[in-house]
Amino acid sequence: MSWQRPDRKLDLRGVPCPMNYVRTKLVLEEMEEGQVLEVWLSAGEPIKNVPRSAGQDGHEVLKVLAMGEDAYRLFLRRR
Amino acid sequence: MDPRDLKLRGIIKLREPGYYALRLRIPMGEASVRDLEVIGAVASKYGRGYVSLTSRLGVEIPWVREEDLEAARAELARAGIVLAGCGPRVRSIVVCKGNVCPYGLYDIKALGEELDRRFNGPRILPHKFKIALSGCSNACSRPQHNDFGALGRVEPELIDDLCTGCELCAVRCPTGAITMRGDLPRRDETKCILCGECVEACPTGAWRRARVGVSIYLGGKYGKMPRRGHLLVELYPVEEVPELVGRVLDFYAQHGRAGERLLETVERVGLEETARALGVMR
Repeated sequence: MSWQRPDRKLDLRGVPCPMNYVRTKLVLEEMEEGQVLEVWLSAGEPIKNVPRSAGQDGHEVLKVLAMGEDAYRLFLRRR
Repeated sequence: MDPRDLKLRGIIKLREPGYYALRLRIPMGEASVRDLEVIGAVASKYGRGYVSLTSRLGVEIPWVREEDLEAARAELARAGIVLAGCGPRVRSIVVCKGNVCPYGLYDIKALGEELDRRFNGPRILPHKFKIALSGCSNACSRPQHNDFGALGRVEPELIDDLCTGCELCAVRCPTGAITMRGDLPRRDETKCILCGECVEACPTGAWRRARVGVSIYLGGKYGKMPRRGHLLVELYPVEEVPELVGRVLDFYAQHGRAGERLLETVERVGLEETARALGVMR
């Protein structure tokens, strides 16, 4: 599956909302349609808000995987 | 003047002799700017130029002199603002902001207004009776700590074909009720609290609301010995809530002893027996 080979990676652990999505969005805008971005996010608000914002902007949430207790790996497809 | 009689009419004796507060009825906690202007004018004329907000979304005008009570009341009444009853009766109904809040699951204002119209009256009960409604599981209006509380719930349902197996629902579920079985999430009904977070989270609309209703809590209170109400029923149809409130009030009037809150009545009668008396399937 394509999410397993992301084109770009972004470590946003510890970056608060909404800056985490602002930075995600800036990277997505540099990417081409269909490419996959892996974002590392803190638990709590970030993993709640970033996938929702990405979805609202029309991008595809491919996978969310836990990374220990307090962080997640989010895989997005640029649309 | 008998302070208890005054209280029933929404006039509350202050610590300072000869002074009273007028407790105003502000249905659903919403006051128009015009209402606020009238309230402000009355507070300036008969009070000390300020109002205080109550924990049940009401407004009080403190520092009204005994001799001005009738004039102040009449001035408010001319603008359609009436006093809120206190004492052993149904109190102001508290609702959250569910009609404008993104999380609100049903028309909470319509339900609150219907309950207000039908039950917020002078009927004397064994003790005070508080009703709170919340539009979702966030329970901002604290329904579990009112004599009758209802909070919005969602029974989720997965459309397998739409699910991409992203696992976001499993990550977001606050009770760990969702786990992945292969590429599909599965919901453990014994752990699920019907909060609808999975529906909220799902990026593809695979989780959808199969049913929206309310959880009903009976007997909650704050006070010296705060207690959480008993869960009467997990998912109850919103449109049947007014009839249920009517039955609960009749039950309380019939079985409650003077001075006891609904909690004591329910616990004395027993929750199962109470549910039977109310005609609720648990």
